[in-house]
Amino acid sequence: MKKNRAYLGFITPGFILYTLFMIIPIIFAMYYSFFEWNGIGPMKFVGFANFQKLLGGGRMSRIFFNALGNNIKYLICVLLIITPLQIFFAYILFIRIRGHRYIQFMLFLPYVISTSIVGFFALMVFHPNIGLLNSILEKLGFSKSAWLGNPDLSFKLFVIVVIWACIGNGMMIFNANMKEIDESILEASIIDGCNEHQKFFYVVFPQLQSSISTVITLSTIYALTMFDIPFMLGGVQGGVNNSIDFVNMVFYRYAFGGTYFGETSLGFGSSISVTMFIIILVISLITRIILRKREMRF
Amino acid sequence: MKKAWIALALVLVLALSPFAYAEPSGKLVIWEHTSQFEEAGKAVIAAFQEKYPDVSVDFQVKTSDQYYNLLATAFQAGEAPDLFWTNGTATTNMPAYAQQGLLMDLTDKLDHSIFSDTTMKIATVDGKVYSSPTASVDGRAVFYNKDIFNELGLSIPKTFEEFEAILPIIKDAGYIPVSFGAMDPWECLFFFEPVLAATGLDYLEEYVAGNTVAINDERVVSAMKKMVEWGEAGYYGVGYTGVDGSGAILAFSKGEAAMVIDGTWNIATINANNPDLNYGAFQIPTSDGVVPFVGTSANGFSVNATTANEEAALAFVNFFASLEGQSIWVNTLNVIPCISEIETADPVVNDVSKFDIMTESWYNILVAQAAEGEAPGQVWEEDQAKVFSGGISVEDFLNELQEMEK
Repeated sequence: MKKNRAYLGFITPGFILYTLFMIIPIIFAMYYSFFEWNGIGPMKFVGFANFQKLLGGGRMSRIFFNALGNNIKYLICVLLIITPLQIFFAYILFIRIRGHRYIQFMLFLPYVISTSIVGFFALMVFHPNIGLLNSILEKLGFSKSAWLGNPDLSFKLFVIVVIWACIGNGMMIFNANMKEIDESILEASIIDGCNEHQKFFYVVFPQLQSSISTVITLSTIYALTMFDIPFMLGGVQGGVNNSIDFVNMVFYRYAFGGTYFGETSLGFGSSISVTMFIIILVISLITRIILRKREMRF
Repeated sequence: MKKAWIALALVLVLALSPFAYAEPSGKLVIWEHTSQFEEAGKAVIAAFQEKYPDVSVDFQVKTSDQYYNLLATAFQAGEAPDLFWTNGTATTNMPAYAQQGLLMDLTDKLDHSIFSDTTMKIATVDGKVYSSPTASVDGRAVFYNKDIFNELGLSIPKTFEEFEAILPIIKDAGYIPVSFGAMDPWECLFFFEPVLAATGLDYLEEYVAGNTVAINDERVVSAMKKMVEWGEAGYYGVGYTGVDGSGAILAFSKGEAAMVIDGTWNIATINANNPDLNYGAFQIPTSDGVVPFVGTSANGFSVNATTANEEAALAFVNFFASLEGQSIWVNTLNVIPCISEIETADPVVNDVSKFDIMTESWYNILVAQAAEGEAPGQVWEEDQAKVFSGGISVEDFLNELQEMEK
């Protein structure tokens, strides 16, 4: 019996493009990570020295692990704050409370605005000199705050901005999942006497497992590759005392140079990207395993 | 016969004269690293094209944070521009490009007679010229709001102590004494250098005299601590650690701050922000009343060693280095000229030019004394702002930098 190989024709273009633009650059990054190289000119082989500098203690390690810590802190916020909020608002829209169309519009609006604009809006609100918040505080007779200039506040403000900017995405996925739930199951739960609370926890929530897996996987990768919003809020140095510094920003600073006249160091930058690639791979695999077990349980 | 000889002589003279060469033509691609110099670049190019109408110029202004990365990528791809800006010998980029043979040696190809030997240092690597400098001096200055000073009965301070004494007076009157964007390390530097020049001029002069100086010298520590102390006293307003450079300039332009200490290249920005602002400039004096000025030479454009249009590229770089080119550059930017032939009518620029001694930039010392393979500039950039937000002490910060020096 002749094997049908038609599928090869479908996957080959994608496979070639993926290899060309993803696999080969990853292999090159791994190769470069063993060299001292500024992007042009001779490359000097340094073995594992770049990784030693990054992970072996000292100033660079402190910078890297502080940034990685911020990535993890943000990931925890995703799991404990952002995802539950997305489910909550998705359910509010699902049960069509009064004004749900307005809420949907307002929550989804920031998602369609580019993150640069989101960052700019946030600066217009939190800027110590010309920001909206300080202007209001001053008019009300209160003292002004440094907001993003305060290292104790900046990470919290960053999370608030991300919630505002990104809540619409996961919310729409959850909402779409809720709309797929068989109407008869929901009607049966009401006939059986479920209140809104019970209907959500015993009927709707168990059927959201596939979308929870999708949103958490995507959010985890986003959390570990965070760059745009903190860059807009705190600059390339990652805000005051590196309080909103993330690994991608460390990579950016060292691979592509500083704000004005910095030196490019593609070899060392590659070692950061390779380390992060491994960390993301491991965390994604663990997340996947946990979520799959959870999906099977429900 | 005599006529024939005269005719032959005339032909020879014409053949050997510059007029015998074909006018440069074709297309040039020129890269600039920041929009701050866009207008000046365009003005010079417009004048160049009046002289060389057959040369078309594609002037591309990049973003400063990606500039060297883009340049490296363009070199790798064999698509580097014909001419491009670098920071000269102030950073390691241009010397590295020169060593790798990426830059055209302009030693015998560039007429740089309008520039002094001191100015040419920024364009010279191992005795060879690799770029044209500019005739502007990038200086730092205290810009002050004349209306606020008049309202409070203040005058330009004659000593450092007088300068320090006016800060609480301005604060008590409800104004921000000095608008400062401590979120940006470069803003910290442009503020710190005049303070160091006023409080530790002898330190800078030791370096100028050819000595090696310690980056964590007690005079440097003391100047930086003085700035931290002013911050704690509330002289920079609330939340200055969350303000960047443009925010600081904006607060001054809006009349919320009495002073801003920043680079002289910001004069055009202040004028654009508020054309009606009544302001002037001065330098922070020393305790002895000496008025120092921290100024650095500024670099212009290098020529790609493999440019396909060498004739036009050399015509441009020579025009840029000419008195005509630099007059346009300096007057469009509204900056201080380092050449007496160039005059500026801007009163603020004239204010900035009132100083007793021009001295060295501390950042230049930091980079120039770096040990082999070390990049103290990168560490400085990463940690400078933390000094003001309490993330690192002045001593730890300067010791960290000193460890990367020769």
